[in-house]
Amino acid sequence: MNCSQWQEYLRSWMDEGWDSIDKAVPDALKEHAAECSRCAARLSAALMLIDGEALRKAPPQDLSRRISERLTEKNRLKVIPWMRWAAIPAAALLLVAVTFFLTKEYFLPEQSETVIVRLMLEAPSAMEVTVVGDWNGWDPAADRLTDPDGDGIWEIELRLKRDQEHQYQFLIDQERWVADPKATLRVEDGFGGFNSILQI
Amino acid sequence: MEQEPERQQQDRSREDVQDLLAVHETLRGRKRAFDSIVERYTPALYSLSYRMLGRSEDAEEAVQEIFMKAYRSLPKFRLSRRFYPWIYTIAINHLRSLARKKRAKFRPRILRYDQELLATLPASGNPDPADVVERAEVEKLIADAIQALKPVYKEVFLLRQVEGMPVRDVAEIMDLPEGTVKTYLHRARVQLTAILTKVGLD
Repeated sequence: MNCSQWQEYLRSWMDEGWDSIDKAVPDALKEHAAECSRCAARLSAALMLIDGEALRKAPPQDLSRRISERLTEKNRLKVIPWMRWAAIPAAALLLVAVTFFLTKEYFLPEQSETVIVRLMLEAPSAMEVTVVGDWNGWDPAADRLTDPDGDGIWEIELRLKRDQEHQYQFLIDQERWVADPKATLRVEDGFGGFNSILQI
Repeated sequence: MEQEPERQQQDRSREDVQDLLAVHETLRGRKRAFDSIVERYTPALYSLSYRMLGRSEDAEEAVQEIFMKAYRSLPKFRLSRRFYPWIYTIAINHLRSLARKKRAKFRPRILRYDQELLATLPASGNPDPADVVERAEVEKLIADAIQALKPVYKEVFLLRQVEGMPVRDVAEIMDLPEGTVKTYLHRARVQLTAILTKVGLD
C-alpha cells in the first residue's frame, strides 16, 4: 500500500477506540512502516499518544533541589494561627461586581483617543485582585485592583482606547478567573470560561 | 464509554497522608517540610508544563512559579481537603495564564529539529544519527498534534491520558462535570487521530 492508504488504515485503526487498542499493531501497518521512515514516525507517535505515559517528560535531575533552594531564599512563610481557620471562609468567595462607568469629566482634548474606565469587583475574602485583558497583553500581574478602605470592594481606573472593544477577566488570588458579572456582553475564552466585553 | 485505568488506591491514599503531614509541618514553621512536596510533584508538574508550553525553559520557570504560588497560598489551604487536586488546580490556572499571554502575542510555536528538541529526547544507547533524527521527528509530530488541540481538550488529555488521573480528579481540578471530562477526552482523541493521520505528506 502507498502512504495515503496507510494513513487511512492507521486512522481507522485508531478510530476503533483508544481504550481497546491493547492488541498488537496490524501487520499491514508494520510492514509499510518498515519501508517508509515518515510513516514509521507517525506510527510511533500514534502509539505514544495512545500509551499516554510514554509522553511524560522527565525534568532535569536537580530541578526540585533548585526550586526548594529558591523557595527558601525568596519566602518567609508567616504562619499566623488565624490563617488556618480563615482558609474555610477564604475558600467561599462572594463574587459580585458592583458597577463600572465611564467618567467623561476626565476627558481631555489632548487625550481624545482614550477614556477613563473604572472597574469594580466585590470580593471581600480576596487577598489580591487583578484585571487581565487585551490592553495589557493578558498579563496577570499588570493591573492590580485596590481596596483602600478594606470594605471588600476592589477597584481600578484604567485609561483605554476609545471606539474599541476590549476583552478582560478578573483574576482573584492568582488562581481564580472570573468574568465580570455585570458585563452584558461576553465571549468564550477557549478555557471553559468567558471573557467580558467592554465596548467604549 | 471508557474503562477507568487501574490506579493503586492505597498508594494514592498513602501519598495524600504524606502531603497533608508535610503541609501541616510547613504551616507549623518547618519550611523544609515543603521540600518533600516539591520533590514529589516536580516530575509530574514539569511534564504537564512541558506539554502545555512546548519548551523546557518555559516549563522549568512555570514549575518554579507554581510551587511559589502554592507555598504562598498554603495558609489558605484547608487540611480537610486533598492537597493533590489543589496544587494541580494552581498549576492548570497558572499554565492557562501563560498560554493566554502566548496567544495574545501571536507567537506560533514552530518546532524544529534543533538542539533543544533533541535534548528533550530520552537517552538512548544507540548513537545512530538516523535513529536520533527519527526520534526527533516522532517528538515533533507529537508536540505539534498536542499543541493543535483546543486548550481545554489539551488540559483534559494531559491530565487523564498522560498523567493517568482518574476522571473524578480531573473533574475536580478543572471544575467540570465528570461527563464533560469524558466528552472532552473523546474529542481530544478524535482530533489527535485526525491530525496525525491527515492525508498529504510532504
